Amino acid sequence: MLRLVAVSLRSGGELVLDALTVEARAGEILVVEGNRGAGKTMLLEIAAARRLPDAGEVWIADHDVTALQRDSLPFVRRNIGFVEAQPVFLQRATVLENVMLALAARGEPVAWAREAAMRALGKVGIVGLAAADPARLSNGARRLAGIARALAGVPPLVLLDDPSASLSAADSGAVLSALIGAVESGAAVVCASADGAFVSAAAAAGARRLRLDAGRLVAGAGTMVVLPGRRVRETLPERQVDLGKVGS
Amino acid sequence: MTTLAAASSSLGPRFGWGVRLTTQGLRRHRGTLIASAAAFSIATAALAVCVAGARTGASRAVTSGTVQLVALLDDALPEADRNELAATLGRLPGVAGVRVLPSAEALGRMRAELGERAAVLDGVEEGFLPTTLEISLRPGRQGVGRADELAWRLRHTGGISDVDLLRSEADHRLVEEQETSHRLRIAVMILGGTVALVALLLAAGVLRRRRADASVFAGLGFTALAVHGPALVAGALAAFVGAVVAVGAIRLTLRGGPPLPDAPSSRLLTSLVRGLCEGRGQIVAVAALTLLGGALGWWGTRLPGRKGDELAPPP
Repeated sequence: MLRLVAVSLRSGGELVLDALTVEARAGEILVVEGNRGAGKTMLLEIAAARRLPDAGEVWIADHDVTALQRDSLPFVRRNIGFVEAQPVFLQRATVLENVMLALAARGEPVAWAREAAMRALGKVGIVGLAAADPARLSNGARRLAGIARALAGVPPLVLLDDPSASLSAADSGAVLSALIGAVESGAAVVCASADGAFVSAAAAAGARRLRLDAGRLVAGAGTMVVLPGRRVRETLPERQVDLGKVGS
Repeated sequence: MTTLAAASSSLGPRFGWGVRLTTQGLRRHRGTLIASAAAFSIATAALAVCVAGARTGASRAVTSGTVQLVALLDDALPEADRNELAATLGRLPGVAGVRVLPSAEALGRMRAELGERAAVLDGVEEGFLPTTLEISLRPGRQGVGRADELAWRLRHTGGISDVDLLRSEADHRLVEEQETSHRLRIAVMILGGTVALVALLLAAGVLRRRRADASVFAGLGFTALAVHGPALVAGALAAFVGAVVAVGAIRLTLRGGPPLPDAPSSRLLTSLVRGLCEGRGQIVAVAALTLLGGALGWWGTRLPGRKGDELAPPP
């Protein structure tokens, strides 16, 4: 689903990512560990087709994002559930309306989008906040709302930057369960996290771990841990990804 | 490798979402809409003042100075018809006076003007020159300002063989008045243009408040039309409402007041009334500002460029 090949990026003169090669397949969780400044956020932004690398290839499904024209990028982005370090929401709109936006981008009917959005809110345990204004929520609740938006409709690729930040242990557990649910539906999930507890819990649930340090992969490459009880990649069918009129 | 499926979503839901998100955006950004409409209203009024200044200068150029029309009458025109024509012309608005100049008097005037060389007219018969009507026009738009139109009409009137239009140079006082008017016109145009520009920049700045929305839409994978469309509609709506309010307010204010005298000091107001209350000018102005508002809405929500937003090199 996602394949980064020899990706390098410089920012402010510093080498942030150094010839990084990473792959995340449908039906697996990949956890990228690393300290602050290791390059996790940049890696996710590149994987989310929000930033182009200086060198290397970024393959999503069977399209090299670096070779796509700018007009084609929205058709890629709408198939990616992305949770930024600080999720941004529409002002003066409810949490439910914000979550429905992800499905609006894919052109889903309104009634179905509302239903799917409520399901996503339920997965992370904030159905009661559906009518709330995101601007009035705590950081943790905003993060959960952002995760719900990323998971709504279960896109084929889900990317999360520090998903457990500002969350209680119970909320982190709910998030991990929701991610496992997405994986079981055939999505590829990539999390960047510096939270040891979350990484351990994810690994225990079958996630593959990678460690970044100063933009380089230092551990975990090649290890593959499948979800307990089933060989996900073998048992789940490949997802049909609707990338619309993507053209290169 | 995962395979790609063709786009399955139809146009219907997308159009529905477009309408829904646009109306939601207008509702959520009521303050922005009102503020930008007010800015467009100020811009419209300032542009109207600017245009009025320019028109005043143009009308001053046409209506200043003095003009006399000389209509050469057919020899066969009976005297009674000649007098009736003179009386009719004398009643026209803007005509100061009409004088019938018989053939003999015209010849006598020519002899006097020639002076010592009048001998060249010796032997000329009394009916050599045609009887003429000397028509003096009042200053102002209704008089001097319509000299060309009146001359054209007279040339097509039965009993008149030709018309001469004689303009005289403006006197010293009139020249001074014109210079004063010119300076006033320039000042009004600069002031109006500056206020209009500032108001439009203000409107663009207000519309940029919607950039946060555009950022969310772009991040979720909406197309450029979906990202900027709501702001385009909001900008166009604000400009339309603002322009209509400004035009309506000026019309109501000026039409409800006393009649405007045709004096230099009031010519700006007269031009303003004519510019905004007559003709298609107001429709064109409202339409142009509506388009401009839409463009400002689109432009105002453009996001700062990042590497990921750059065009990739062609494959």
